[in-house]
Amino acid sequence: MNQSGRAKAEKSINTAMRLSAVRDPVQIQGLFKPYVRDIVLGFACLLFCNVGLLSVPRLLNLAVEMLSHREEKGWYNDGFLGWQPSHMTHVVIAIALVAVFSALFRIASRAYIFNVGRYIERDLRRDLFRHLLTLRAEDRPSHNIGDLMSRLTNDLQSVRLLSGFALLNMLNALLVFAGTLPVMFSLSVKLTLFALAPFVLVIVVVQRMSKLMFRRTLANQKALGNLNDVLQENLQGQVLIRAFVRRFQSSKDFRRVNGDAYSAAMKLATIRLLLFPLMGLMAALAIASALFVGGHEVLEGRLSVGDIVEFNARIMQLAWPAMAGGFIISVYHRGRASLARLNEIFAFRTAVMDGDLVRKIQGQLRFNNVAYGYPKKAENKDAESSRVDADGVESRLPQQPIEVLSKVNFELQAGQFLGLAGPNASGKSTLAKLMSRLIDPSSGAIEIDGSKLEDFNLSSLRDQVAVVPENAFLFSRTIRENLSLWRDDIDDVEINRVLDMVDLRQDLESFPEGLDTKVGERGWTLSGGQRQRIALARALLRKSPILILDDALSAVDAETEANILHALRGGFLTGAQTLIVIAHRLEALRSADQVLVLSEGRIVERGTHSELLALKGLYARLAEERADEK
Amino acid sequence: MKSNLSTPNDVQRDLNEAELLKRLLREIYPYRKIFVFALILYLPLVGAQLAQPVVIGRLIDDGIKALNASRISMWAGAFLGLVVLHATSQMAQLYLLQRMGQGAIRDLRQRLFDKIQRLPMRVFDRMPLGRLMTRVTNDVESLSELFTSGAVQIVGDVLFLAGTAFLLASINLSLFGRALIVAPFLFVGIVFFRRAARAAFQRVREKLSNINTETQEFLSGLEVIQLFALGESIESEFAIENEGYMRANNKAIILDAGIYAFVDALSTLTAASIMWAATGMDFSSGFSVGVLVTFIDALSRFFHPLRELSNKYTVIQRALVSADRVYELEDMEDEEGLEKSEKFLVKKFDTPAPNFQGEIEFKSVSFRYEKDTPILKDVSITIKHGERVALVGRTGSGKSTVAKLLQRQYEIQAGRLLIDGKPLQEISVESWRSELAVVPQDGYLFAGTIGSNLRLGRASASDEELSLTLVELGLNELVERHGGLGAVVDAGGKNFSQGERQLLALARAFIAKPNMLILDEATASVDLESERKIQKATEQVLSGQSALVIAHRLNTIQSADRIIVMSAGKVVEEGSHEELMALEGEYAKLVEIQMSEDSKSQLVLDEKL
Repeated sequence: MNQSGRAKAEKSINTAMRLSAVRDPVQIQGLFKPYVRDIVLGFACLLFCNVGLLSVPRLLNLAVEMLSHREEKGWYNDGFLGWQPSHMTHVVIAIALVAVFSALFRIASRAYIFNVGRYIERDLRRDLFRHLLTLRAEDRPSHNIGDLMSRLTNDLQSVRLLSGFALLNMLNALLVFAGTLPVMFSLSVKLTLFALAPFVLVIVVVQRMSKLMFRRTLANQKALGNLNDVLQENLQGQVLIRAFVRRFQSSKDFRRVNGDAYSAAMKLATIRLLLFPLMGLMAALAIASALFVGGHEVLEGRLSVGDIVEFNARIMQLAWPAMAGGFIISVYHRGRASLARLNEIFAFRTAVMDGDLVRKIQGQLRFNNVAYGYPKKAENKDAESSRVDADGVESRLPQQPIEVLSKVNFELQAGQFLGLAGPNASGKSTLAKLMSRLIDPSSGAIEIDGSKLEDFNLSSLRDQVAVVPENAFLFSRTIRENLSLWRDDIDDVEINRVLDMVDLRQDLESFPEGLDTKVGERGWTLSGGQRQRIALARALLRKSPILILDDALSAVDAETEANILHALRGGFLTGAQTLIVIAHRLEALRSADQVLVLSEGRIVERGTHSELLALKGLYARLAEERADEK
Repeated sequence: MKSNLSTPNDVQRDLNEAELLKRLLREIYPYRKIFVFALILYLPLVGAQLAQPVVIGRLIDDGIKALNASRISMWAGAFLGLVVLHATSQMAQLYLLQRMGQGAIRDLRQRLFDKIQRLPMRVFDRMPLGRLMTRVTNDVESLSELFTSGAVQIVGDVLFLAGTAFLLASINLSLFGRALIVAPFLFVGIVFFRRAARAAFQRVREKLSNINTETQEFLSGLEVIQLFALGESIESEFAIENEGYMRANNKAIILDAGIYAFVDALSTLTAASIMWAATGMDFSSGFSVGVLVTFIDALSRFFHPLRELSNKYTVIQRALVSADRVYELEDMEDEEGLEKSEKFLVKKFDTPAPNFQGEIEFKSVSFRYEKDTPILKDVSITIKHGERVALVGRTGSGKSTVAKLLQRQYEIQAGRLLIDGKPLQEISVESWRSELAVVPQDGYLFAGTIGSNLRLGRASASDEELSLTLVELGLNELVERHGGLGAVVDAGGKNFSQGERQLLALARAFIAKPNMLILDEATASVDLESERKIQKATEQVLSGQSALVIAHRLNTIQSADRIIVMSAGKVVEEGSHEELMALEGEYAKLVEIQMSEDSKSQLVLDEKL
């Protein structure tokens, strides 16, 4: 999995492989493969440990026999098996040695095998994470982060339990039964059968009950979740609760979910409190039947007292492995189900073609008949047709996609300022995503400096085309770290210059620790405008030849926006950078060399700000609406 | 218990363990019968467990070695009886303890929740929501461990330990003496392992929380990561956390396995040494092989509770920390002027005439939030019954604070606030609040249905009444679109747009039939279309209704009877729209800013106000 996982992830970027339906890319056997050595070593330790532990009852048997003999006849001294006090000493020393070594081997066996579970957990988490990093939004199995998180935590844990806990206990049960049963049978077949009967019951009962326990655990979690929801809602609505004097009703609402939580907890507890005494009961039943049947066997001279004592000790040793047997079965089923859910993530492949063109971009840009649509959900991936059109741009579309952009044609010279306007959902943001290859066009071609977008190396392209989205996501780190984004070659002089440009220097002075203020910590919250300006600053620090602002200053006031855009055009960019601005406030596009007006995925108007206003079309209407708002 | 609950004055607190334990004990007082019964069950439980090795010994000596078949059957039967007795009394006891523990934490949770409803508003300013949540959920939950297993089982462990010791000593005192030599080693070993393991598991938890935080954050920021081609940097950072988490686990695994291996090995070693000691013993004086087997068996049972006891100490320590946090919340003072019972709420709708004429008078009121700069300075405002008054001013001028003081969310600190000439403090706070209806800035809706949300201020409103009001406000279409009054509303109203929430909040306030309506910037953050709708509905609601309207979009309040302009915590101007415009003061300036052609857009104003 180690290497194969990495290879897999890289393959998905580097090759042009299209969404191929891979059934269960990760097999359980494959997970264990790199750790066969650890498993074998762990098994060996387990073997030694068990040989030791299993020989203790025999040694006890010997000691008891010796003492019994002495009790009846005194020590005697004839022949090979003479009973002497020194023999007793040997037996005792043997027991002591066995105890110490078994303990050591026991620790080692757990270290080896439980670690295998942890290795596998680490590998899977790493591979899943790496895989998710390469997946584009449209290729993710779920857009719900809560769902992805639950797979990366709960499901991962189930697989880990399967590959550590279940593995160890399975091997252990095998060894214990293999070591114990023959000895027991050799002592007395009849006695063994009587003693074993309750254990068969143990396995069945535990398996059944652990299934039930799992279900009730989920139910309990859900009940607590409901309780949390009601509580959280109540806290958030406190002002209203008071304003409308609702505390008595709230109390009743809470009483209901609180009661539910109580019964769910009781139901779960009932299983637990039945399970463990029941296990004890089963083991004790086995002992009782051994004592009863064994006692009569002794009377008939077929067994000795020592045999009975040994038998009892052996039954005790079978108790835990038998109990574990039931758990293993349910852990195994849960682990398989979880692995299937993880495989769902792996099964989604992003087919980003990565080119090898690494070149300094000048900033000349051409859209040639570009269209974009996305496949309808629930489309069978296999049915997707893959065709290559005249321009060589591969299409990933099923027959009837939802069209977002069509027939987009425009050209932009290096250093020019392009404005994009249009009502909501007219396709403006899609255009920005296309530029940074967060998505690829369904048909048509995008060229930068005369080379196709797909030919560029992806990292190099994204380094040189900076997109600032409207939603300014910041990491929960210091502002400095959010600006430098894992690069260590950015100094404070540079940072301050950019902060001046985005009008953030003054804001920064009010932050408790300036640049080293952590975002979102200790109640320190940034306003939407501040967030957006930080997001813009971090893009500017990249000094990309092409800069795209996707409604990136929506939460900043118009005056500041105008100042920032002016600075971008004037000093800092020195005209060398190509600027694309998507804006709702059309004043921002006043100085654009060209403005495209989009509607329902098509360019409906183009020209400069003043030309478009004079046209009295859609652009003029949008401008009017804004004015109304004032 | 009750007397303690109502003590309002908690001055300062330090972790007084005895006091905390006493209070915790009071939590289970309502379940004392169950508790006593659970304790009594220890008699058969410990008795059966102690008797088991004795019976096995007798079976060997009395039955097998005496070659007596009926004795064998008898002792085996006795053993079986003991086993069943042990299992059933164990189940019964566990069940009772769960009943008690879960019941106690359910009660505590409810009490805390009810307490939160009574806390003064200023507590919420001070305490982040997450912290309050944790008190009621996690902290209470960690007490459950103490109630269901911890405390009571200590009694059991000690009983069992004492019983086993007595049994061992009575079998053979000198052998027991020898066995006890092991005890200090055992204790030191367990304490060592526990400490190391606790530290290791603490580290595991920290690492796990790191890795979960990081995963969550990177998944949320996936777009940014891809846009800036940060994949490799992120991956290597994540790999370090991932590796660290695994390493921490590897260490914990060894320590965890170590405890069990250690105790088991020591127990076997002790058995061996007892055997060895028995070699030189005189078997004639009442000592026999059967007795020896009994002794060794009982000895192995002696080790188990020792291991458990060391664990319980940790449980109690953890529970005390949680208990302290829980009781801190419970000991906070209630809001002033609360009613004790629910009855007064009904009163309002039974009496036809309003309880208040509703003349409101702020007389030289000053106010500041905790440690803050003063928000209101010497403010005097009068609102007559049936009058519509608008409060305008820039952000931070104190206009929202006036509304909050009127609702008595906070107590005034200087001056007087009079209702019909009577100080507000002398009126029961909740009966006063039920005279008011508020439309807050964010239009928060509760989980439930549209109907249940509209009835928030008046539970008795009939469906017809609701429909009528909705039609009146022009909102029936909106409600129908969502599926009628029975349509489901998610927590916070997330399945409605901001504008829709605001409109429903308006209807909700109207349906409450208040003596006075308070609109706190009800159209602050919605789009153009929604704003127009809200404005229209507002005008409907306001006709003939006494109201306090706080606004920053000035076109919404021009028809108010009186406009009060606030600036920096003071009332600076007062009068009708026309009067104030003629004054050419602060109000005129505000209007000018808003109307001015190149004031860019509304957003500029938002920023500046």
